[in-house]
Amino acid sequence: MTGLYEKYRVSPYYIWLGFLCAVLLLGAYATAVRFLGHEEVFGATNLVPLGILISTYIFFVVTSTGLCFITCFGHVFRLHRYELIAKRGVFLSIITLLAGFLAICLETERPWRLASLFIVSPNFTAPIWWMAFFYNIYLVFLVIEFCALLFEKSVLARFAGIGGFLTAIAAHSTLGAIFGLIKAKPFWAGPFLPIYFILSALVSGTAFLIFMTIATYRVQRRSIPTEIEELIVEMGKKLLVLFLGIVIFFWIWKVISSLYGHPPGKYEAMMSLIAGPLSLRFWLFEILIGLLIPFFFLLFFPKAKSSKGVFLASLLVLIGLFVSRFDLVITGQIAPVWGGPYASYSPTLIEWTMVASAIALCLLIYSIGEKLLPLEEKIPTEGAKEKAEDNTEDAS
Amino acid sequence: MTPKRYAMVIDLNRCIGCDTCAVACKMENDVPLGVWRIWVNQKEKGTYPHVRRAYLPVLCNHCENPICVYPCPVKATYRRKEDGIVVVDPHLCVGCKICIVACPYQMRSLDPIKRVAQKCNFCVHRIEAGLRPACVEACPTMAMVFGDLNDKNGPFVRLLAERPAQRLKMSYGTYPQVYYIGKDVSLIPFEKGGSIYDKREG
Repeated sequence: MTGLYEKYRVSPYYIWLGFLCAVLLLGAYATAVRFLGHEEVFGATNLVPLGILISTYIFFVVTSTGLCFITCFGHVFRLHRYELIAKRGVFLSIITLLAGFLAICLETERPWRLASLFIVSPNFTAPIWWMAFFYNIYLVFLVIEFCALLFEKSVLARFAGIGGFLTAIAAHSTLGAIFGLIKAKPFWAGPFLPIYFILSALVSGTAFLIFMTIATYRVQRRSIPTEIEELIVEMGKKLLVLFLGIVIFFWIWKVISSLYGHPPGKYEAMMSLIAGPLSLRFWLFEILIGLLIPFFFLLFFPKAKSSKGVFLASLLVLIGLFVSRFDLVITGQIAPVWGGPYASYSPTLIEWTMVASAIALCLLIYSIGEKLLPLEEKIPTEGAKEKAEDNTEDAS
Repeated sequence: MTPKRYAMVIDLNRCIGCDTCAVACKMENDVPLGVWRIWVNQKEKGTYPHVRRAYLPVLCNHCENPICVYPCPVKATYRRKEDGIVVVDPHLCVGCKICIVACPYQMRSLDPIKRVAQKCNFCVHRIEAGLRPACVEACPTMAMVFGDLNDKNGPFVRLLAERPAQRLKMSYGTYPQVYYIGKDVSLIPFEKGGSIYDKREG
């Protein structure tokens, strides 16, 4: 019996891959229902046309940009400790971008027209066009950077990293500008969003990298090498806290400026968050779970100094950020234009399935990549370190 | 030949809220179920016995500065140079829905069958054939008048010169080309506690 069990035993890794493939298949079914069927299967209405897939797209590309920034610390800005997480970071940056692309294609009504029309009939006054343009270049830079890191071409990695860093800023702030340049929605309009998106990318990227790195070691039941653990804990204790603090500061002024003097449109939108239909999500998920609890936990609790602590904090931040993106997209749209009550939107099962499939795509590529690609940096042993130091001394 | 600048005047003193314009538009343009290109906002004003129902027919304003046009990534929507009409090319639209969000009057919607953005185009096919838009043609009280602003001696420009007219949400700097005679202050958007019957929700 045991022999039979051993013979047909499937490793948990393949069960995991199978589960992710099943979610992707469900996503494919949902896609077919949406694009081949004749019924409207999205919860979006003409008053709230942009739904949860847009916010999922934002969540993923924000994370990708943030990961790019964090990984640049190592081989671009020469903070050498961060080279330890460079390969994993850049790889995650690529796959989160791909998951984001999947989400936005599923949200668009006619995605098969996207590629050709963006080239044949470009509108240079449209932030969407510029965003697509920059994100595509960004993707190319990321792939070059990743290959250079894999083959240890440090100069190429550095230049590709610089290119990725600059295009990431361009692409990501343009994403903020898609919303920021819509004058019709006072809650979004203005320079706040392009700037805020760049800032929140740092939060998102740091949290995601911490979460995925620790989760990978935990799932594989391996102990985290001390150098990496120290770096990850430091990222949580210092970087994440700093970025969270700045986000809290930004939000305080966003709230005050949206309420002060009842600016039309803005006031109604902000009130929907503070004391309206979105208030539970806002206070519980965005503010408490996403910002305040991880911020004070990392800042004041000694237990947060372990990898478990930063893991938990980054998980909370990621949940908060996902809800925050959703609320950002919805809040801008639900304020009444012709008077009357708030418009309503709740995602349908089809939309949730598509969101799940975007997450599954990200995890699937990561799981396969983690197995096949050498994502771990070789940590030099003490002997090798001394030798390297001797060499540098000799050279000088 | 000088280019035309088509515009519309709606005399709210004549509007009886019969929705004929909305129905005529639906029939003329084959507008799908659940979507409208023109509708009549309604609001009850005052308390009994001094009560009145105010009407505000709304449609695409064909703005001179169309802020819904700029964010379209593929030039699927544009303002025609020859007559100032803002149109959507359904063969180019990718359905990103950004124009629907960007219109401050919420006059764009998604065609659930073609899966592209759609809106009032002043019945451009009728205008090119020398006819008037369907809503104007159908209005039983002749509350809607359609004409060319560049025809300086025409009846349309004379009407606008003789009667005080207002436009909607001028604060956005869009310079809408639909003018309202006798616009009621109670129909101004963002009015506190206001509740205007919105066809798309009812």
